[in-house]
Amino acid sequence: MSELRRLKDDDDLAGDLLRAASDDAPSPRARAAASAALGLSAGAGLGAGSAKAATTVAKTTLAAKVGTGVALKVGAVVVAVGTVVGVRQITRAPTYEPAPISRRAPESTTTVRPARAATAPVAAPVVAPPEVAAPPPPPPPTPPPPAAAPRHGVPRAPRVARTEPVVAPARVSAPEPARVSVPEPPGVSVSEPARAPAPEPQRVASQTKAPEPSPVVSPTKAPEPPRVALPAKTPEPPHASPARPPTLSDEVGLLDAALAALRARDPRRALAALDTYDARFPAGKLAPEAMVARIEATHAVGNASRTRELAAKFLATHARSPLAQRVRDIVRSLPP
Amino acid sequence: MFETNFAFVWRSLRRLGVPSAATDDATQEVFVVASKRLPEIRVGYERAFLFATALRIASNARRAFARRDARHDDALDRVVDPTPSPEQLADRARARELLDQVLATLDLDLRAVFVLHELEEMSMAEIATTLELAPGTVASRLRRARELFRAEVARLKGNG
Repeated sequence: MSELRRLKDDDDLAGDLLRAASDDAPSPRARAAASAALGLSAGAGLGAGSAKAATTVAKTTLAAKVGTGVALKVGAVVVAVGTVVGVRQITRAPTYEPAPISRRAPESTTTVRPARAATAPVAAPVVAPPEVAAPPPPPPPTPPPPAAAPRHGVPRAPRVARTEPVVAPARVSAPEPARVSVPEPPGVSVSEPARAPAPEPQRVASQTKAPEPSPVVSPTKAPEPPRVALPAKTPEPPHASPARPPTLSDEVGLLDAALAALRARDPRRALAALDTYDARFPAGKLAPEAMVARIEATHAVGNASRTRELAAKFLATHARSPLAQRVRDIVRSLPP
Repeated sequence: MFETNFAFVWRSLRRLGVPSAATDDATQEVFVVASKRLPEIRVGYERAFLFATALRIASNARRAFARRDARHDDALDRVVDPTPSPEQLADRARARELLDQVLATLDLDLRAVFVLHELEEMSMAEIATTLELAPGTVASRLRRARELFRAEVARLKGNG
């Protein structure tokens, strides 16, 4: 009874189901977030990663003060520590319609930052973050900043950078707010290469009081550094969201999220995920499936007229789809 | 350890019943635990450690989920879950959803063995190591899990 043949190889329903699992995989985003949470630079093993991070951090006064353990976390900068620690309940932004999966990340990102700052104001040496953040990728912008910063007095830069996180989620409508808040800064810098993200951070750091009513602003300067660190890390995210064309697995992921929400009897969340889907994949390959999921979700929230409307629209174009029967069943179940 | 096993942990959590929306976080959690306990992890047993951690987290998540599930039991089931025609199964997302449904009927013990063997394609010996079980136990759990899996799939098909 050692190596039995696997059900996956069977040419039946069981095999179909098992094979379907094969293209289920974590998003690069999840990996990046986790990696950041652990303070790993890309590609480093767990041990090596920590070591590396520690060394880098050691250069900063921060490390000396706080000790490697904590330094590491600060080094990991924010991103996901919070996620893990469980600050998740804090919900935010009522308006945007995030995919459940990814929504999580940003929430914590945004929330953690202040929290961290608040609890550990100590950790704020302004210099630290840029340094710390530098190790992961070899981002061009980071190193120069310290030097350049003082010279450029770019009063607006920080503002732009700061507001971003707030705007971002709404704009992108979710799938990856996490990265959204991250990528933004570089985006900004692209349009004004001269100022580059570099000056911003520094400015922010030195000019703390100026800032606008950012949601994050908290007692000390502490909150800034993390912020500063983010731009440094950005190099990876940008590929991930706008630069890389969306893949089918992105679509599947989002649709899966919607289906999971439906299964979890949370049709509103499903609708939110579907809105995101539609926004991101206007010509998605799974559009019919998404549409049917929307019909189901709409039905589930009890909006009969809208359900009928959507169903009619679907049937008009997909009358012969294998999914059509399902839609007809739903319509039939509606009260006259 | 992270790079090599990230996807493995993620998939395991998924197939062990962690809802997709929570899988990213759960994966992270597994690695955070691992990083804290790094010194205790024996060389060569990294995967075993990660899987065991994943199993525990999945078990908690399932319990939480089941609790929530029990409270609602309504029309949605009927709507979301009409038995699929073969064509619908072509849709992989849908198929995966069904797969998870079927897996959800297995006890976690059986499910773990089943997932490692059928999806992660581990040998019995590897599974025994990973789960720290006697080989005989692995074999019997796998046999049982397969029976149940097939029966559940047949039931699904029968309903259609």
